[in-house]
Amino acid sequence: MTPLLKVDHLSKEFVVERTVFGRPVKTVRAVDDVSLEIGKGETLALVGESGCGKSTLGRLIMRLVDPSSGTITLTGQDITSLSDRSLKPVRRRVQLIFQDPFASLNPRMTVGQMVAEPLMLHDIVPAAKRTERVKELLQAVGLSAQHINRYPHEFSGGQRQRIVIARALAAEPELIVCDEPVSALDVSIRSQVLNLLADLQKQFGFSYLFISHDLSVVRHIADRVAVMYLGRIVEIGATEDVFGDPRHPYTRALIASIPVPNPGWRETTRPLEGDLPSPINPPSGCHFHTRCPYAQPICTTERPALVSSQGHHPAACHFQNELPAADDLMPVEAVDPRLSRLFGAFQALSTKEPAA
Amino acid sequence: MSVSAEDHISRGESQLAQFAKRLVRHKGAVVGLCFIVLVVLAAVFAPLITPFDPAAQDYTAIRQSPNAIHWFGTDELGRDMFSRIIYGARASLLVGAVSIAIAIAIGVPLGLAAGYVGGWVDMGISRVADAMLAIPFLILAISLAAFLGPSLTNSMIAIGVTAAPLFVRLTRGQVINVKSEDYVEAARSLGNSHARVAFRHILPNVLPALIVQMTLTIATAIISEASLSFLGLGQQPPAASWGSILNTAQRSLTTAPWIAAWPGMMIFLTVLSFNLLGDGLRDAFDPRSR
Repeated sequence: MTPLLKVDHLSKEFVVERTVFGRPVKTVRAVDDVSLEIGKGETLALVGESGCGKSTLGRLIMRLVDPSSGTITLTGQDITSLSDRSLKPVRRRVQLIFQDPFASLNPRMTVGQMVAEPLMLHDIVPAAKRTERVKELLQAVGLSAQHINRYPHEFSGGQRQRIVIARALAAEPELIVCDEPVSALDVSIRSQVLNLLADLQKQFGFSYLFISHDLSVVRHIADRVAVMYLGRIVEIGATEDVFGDPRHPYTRALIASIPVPNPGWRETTRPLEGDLPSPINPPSGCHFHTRCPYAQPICTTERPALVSSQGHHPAACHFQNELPAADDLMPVEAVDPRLSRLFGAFQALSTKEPAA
Repeated sequence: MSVSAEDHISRGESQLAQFAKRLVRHKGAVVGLCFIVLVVLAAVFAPLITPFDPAAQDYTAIRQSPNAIHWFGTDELGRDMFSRIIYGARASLLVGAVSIAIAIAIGVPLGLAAGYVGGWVDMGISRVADAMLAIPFLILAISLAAFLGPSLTNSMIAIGVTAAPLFVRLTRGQVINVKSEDYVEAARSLGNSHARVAFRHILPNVLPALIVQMTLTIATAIISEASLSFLGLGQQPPAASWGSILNTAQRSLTTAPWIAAWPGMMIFLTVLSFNLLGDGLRDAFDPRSR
């Protein structure tokens, strides 16, 4: 079966500095030789620090940015170099949900106009029935049909994100790229929006590319996880495999940095030291060797390939089989019973809310 | 702010009604609009209102101060000032409106193209606009008007073309600002064409700045026409415009100050009204203001 989306050796270089005559002097490899696949109905999470190129990868897949090399294939159709016109039907199939719901809605268009736009552009619903469809969509994302003539500034952050989701749904997409869809929202709203995203996926069967730096969210929503560091994927695999048996030191450091809501839980791994190196002048060999506690001489010279070894999921580390066991990164039973009762009560409250 | 609490204020009004409501709430804009409507009506129905022929000379009544027969007084040829001011409104308003229309028709699309497309298109358009802006407004308008030949129409074209780079620059800057917003990227990702993104998504967000610039430039246009008329490049005598009246009046500024006062006051009030209206329009166009 052909995957819904297939990305092959995709790279994107941005020019940072040019000579007077416009010839590039310095470039940044924001995305460096990335390959991945997303199946139908699947959620692939893309995690990494800010500046690692995960948003750029999302925009490359959306064809909002042109790749420097590599191919993007959507159900067997190569969309890497489609012209603007032939890209239009593709745009309908892939939608984008932004991080900041305050910036992604046009302040001078009403909710109805915005949600109706994809219906009009792709002629999904005849003009006479559009208002009806917009109202259905608004209700599907937990808003009221009466909101149709309102402007975005009249809504809260969570409601705005629901409008963005309704607009994406209107196009009836097969893949939705979510670029940090909940990181700009209040913690109390987050779970509502995440649950909405999960429910809609169940209902309509589309796939997600879920870009996030929040591993606890990713663990909750993703089927598979890809970990990015300085433009490269360093580890990719099923969520339980990546979290349960991380094969790359960077993944381990990320997982170890998830806050655990248990005061008795002792930090056994040291947090990651140093900053993300400059992508303009990335470290040689394995990009991670400057911060890696297990770095050896070979790491500074040779770039490790993303390969699976001994039947495990793929990771890009020379020593993926020699790393010490990592079963103490996350507590198996995270919290004590009193805390889980409290969480249960919060959960019950927050699931009631969207009905209002 | 919960969803249900908001629903009590159900608003069935059209967007136009909401716009009108926001405009009416702006007191200054209403005053400005009323004055402009009054002047426009006076200009349109000038033959019905004016007691005298604006060009009729009366050597028995030269430089009379305002009185019962000549409400605004008379000028150095004995022409009725009231009639001349009202007929002058025709020329001055026409210059203001037409030259702005020309400036916008040239400047906004070019600015939009420069800002949205960027690269060489931007380079080309911006350098030409910069070159035009480097020459003082009036000098450029005068040379253009002189090149086209003296007439009211040509002075409108000259002023319009001269004012166009102002709109190119402003539109370009605003477009570059708006272009980087997420909602523009969202519009692209939904499948909007470049043209639709530019006109439907970017232009409305640039409009407020353009409206303010427009009201300021109408004022400049009316005053520039006055200068062109003084040099004989604008309104041709004996027909009147506020500018031409003002310029001839300076010869008798000490002996008959009312000749200069009336057109000066009219220009002042009209410009003020346009500015007030512009302020109101800018706010009314913004759905965020309530």
